[in-house]
Amino acid sequence: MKKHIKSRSVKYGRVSVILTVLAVVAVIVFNATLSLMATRYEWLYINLSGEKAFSISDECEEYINRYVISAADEYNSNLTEAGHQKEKLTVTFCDDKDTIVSEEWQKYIHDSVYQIKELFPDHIEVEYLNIWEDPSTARELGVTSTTDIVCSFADRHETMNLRDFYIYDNAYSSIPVAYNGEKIIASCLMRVTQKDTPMCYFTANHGESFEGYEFMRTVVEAGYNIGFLDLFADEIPEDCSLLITFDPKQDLIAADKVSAVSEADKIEAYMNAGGKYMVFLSADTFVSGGRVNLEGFLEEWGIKYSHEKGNDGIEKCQLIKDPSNSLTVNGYTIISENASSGLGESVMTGLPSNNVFGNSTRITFADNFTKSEDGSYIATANGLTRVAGPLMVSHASAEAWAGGRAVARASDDPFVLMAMSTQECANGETACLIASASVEFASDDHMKSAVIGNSRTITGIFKYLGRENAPVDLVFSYFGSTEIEILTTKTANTVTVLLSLIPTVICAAAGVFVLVRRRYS
Amino acid sequence: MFAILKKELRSYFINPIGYVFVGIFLLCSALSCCYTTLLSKSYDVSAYFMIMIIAFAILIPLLTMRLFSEERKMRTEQLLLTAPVSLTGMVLGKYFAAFSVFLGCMAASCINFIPLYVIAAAERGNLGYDTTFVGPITAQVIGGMIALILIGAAFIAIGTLVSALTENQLAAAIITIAGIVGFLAIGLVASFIDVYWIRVALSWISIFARFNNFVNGVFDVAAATYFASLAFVFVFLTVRVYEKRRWK
Repeated sequence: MKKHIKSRSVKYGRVSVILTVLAVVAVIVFNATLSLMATRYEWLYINLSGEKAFSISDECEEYINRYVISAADEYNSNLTEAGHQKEKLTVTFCDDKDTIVSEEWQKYIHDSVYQIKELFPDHIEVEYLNIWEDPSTARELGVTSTTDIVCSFADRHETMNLRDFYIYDNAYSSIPVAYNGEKIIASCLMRVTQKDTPMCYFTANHGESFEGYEFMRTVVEAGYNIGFLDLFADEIPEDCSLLITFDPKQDLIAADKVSAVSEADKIEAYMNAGGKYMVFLSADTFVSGGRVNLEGFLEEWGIKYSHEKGNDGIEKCQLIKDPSNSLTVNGYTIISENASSGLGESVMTGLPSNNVFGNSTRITFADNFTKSEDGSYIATANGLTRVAGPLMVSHASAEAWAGGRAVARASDDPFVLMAMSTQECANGETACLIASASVEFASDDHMKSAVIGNSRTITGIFKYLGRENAPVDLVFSYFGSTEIEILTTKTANTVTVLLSLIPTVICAAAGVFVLVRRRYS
Repeated sequence: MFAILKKELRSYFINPIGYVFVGIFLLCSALSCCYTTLLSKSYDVSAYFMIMIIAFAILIPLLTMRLFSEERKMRTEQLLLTAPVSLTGMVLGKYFAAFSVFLGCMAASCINFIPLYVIAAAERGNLGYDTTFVGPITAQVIGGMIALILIGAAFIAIGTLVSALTENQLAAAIITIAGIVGFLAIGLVASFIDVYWIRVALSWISIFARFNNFVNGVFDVAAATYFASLAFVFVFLTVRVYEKRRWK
């Protein structure tokens, strides 16, 4: 027996093969175990930069604590009183953890979510859903891609796409220029925990254009759900918290012999019940003439768009030009100032002052509104008082052009670029009308810039209009520049040649030296 | 083991092969770094690391093809097998000799990053506004270098085993190339497989899938262990091959 065990064929033959196979299997099992552990334990991933690429800001932490955690706690306290179990906020990634962590763009979002989870560990959970293994759950959550992220609380959920978390140069670009993760995550958590989801309706039967994706996204981030409204065919729904008319190509429809429907009357009734209405018009809106019904309605609220008769005899809006404060050579994309008194002061305090208006016209105030000492314009009718005032104005160097000539200068009185009109209604609500003299104010280029304030300003206005939990102070962060901008091609070629040749030549020289020396020693 | 290591290191540099390898390695790394960064006007070095991994498929066999094949061809294998050193020590000595040459080349190739930092410093000086970041991401550079060293260690181990199996250096080189290319291609093949568990298994083995974390500036302990395990398994198999050969 002993002889058999010591025989070479056994000791170094079959037994050896078995031991070798066992050793290899042990290594495989060890690695598989470690890979499984890596999906659960963060310490198996060591960040070599020593700090998170995008840290959650104090503003974000405060926002989540104030509007998300408190809402969740309130909901849970009602549940526990009723004897039910508490609900937790869940952020679900639709892929395996190691796949997410290894993919650059998902990794930033994953890090942000984990940072938020570390700040609120008792309220937030992170889960991973394999949509191939569990397609029914994926379908329920509206997941369409492994890069989707779902925020859910109780019976509510919101699904976000990877692209939502980043800002791109244009709609077709695949390389993002900025990371907007904390705002998107925070606002999504807010939307699933808020008690009610107010509706924002865009009027859609006047040739309105909806190319401004970033503006729509800002509306959603403020906590609204978006709907579209045919103002002629439908009544303004009761759940409408905000009505927007964006760049209409046609006028409001008035009652006539054919139909008794007056869109202006519908909006008036909505406003008198405490509604909020935003209008975006520009000089281009009036290229074929005035909008009698719309302008008539606005004038009742104190807001007038300045017209000038052109060479063709048609009344057109003035176009504001300010080369001293313009982002473009032609001077028509101008930087505004915030109004410093009256209504403007109360709305714009704390909001950015570097807002941009492109192809802007000019707003004035109706003749029947009386100017008060603080710069507001007031009119009273039927026992109700309407107060109008500027929110943003041009610089004193601006000029209003019409018919190929400057017809007014802002040095006398700054041009109003965005105005507001309010009314304390009979039911105790406050109606608000916001009129913008530029459609391009809400364009994608201006809304996604971190340098100019349009996005934050719009969010701040939504907050003033009643969206207390609009994420005004959460901003996006630009990525570091990976482009080399000061290197000439000649320098690049020179460095390439030097780096390629010098080490190689040194190596070759050393080799020749050693070999020759060896040969002749 | 150290005697074998020193002897092997010396043999790399008393023959042209060592200088040829170092020269080609540095030339390859300089060209790929400059092409993906300076000539592309980009600080992003991830493409450079990807190209180097593919270049390893050609470079590493140059380093490992003569490790054991030459001993067998020159009939000096018996001396090694009867030397007063354990088989494990002998194999490790040769392996670490090749790895040391490789490590030296990796260290020397770090000079390719110097122009990027110099240009970034010049750009930062020109900027009139605060920006988040300008220049190569050091975490990405460090992570990528660590990954290349670990992957190189694994590939050298593959080459060591193949070299031990044949006495023809050219055959050893070609088989090593095929083996390394096979490992690299596994991850690509995975995307064509419909069967979920096979796809997961192939992705688990894939070199590129485990490399991504490093180039994102994260030291993935599981991936590092995987590469080290690959090196261990192939070195272990080399020892077993020689165990069998000694006692045959």
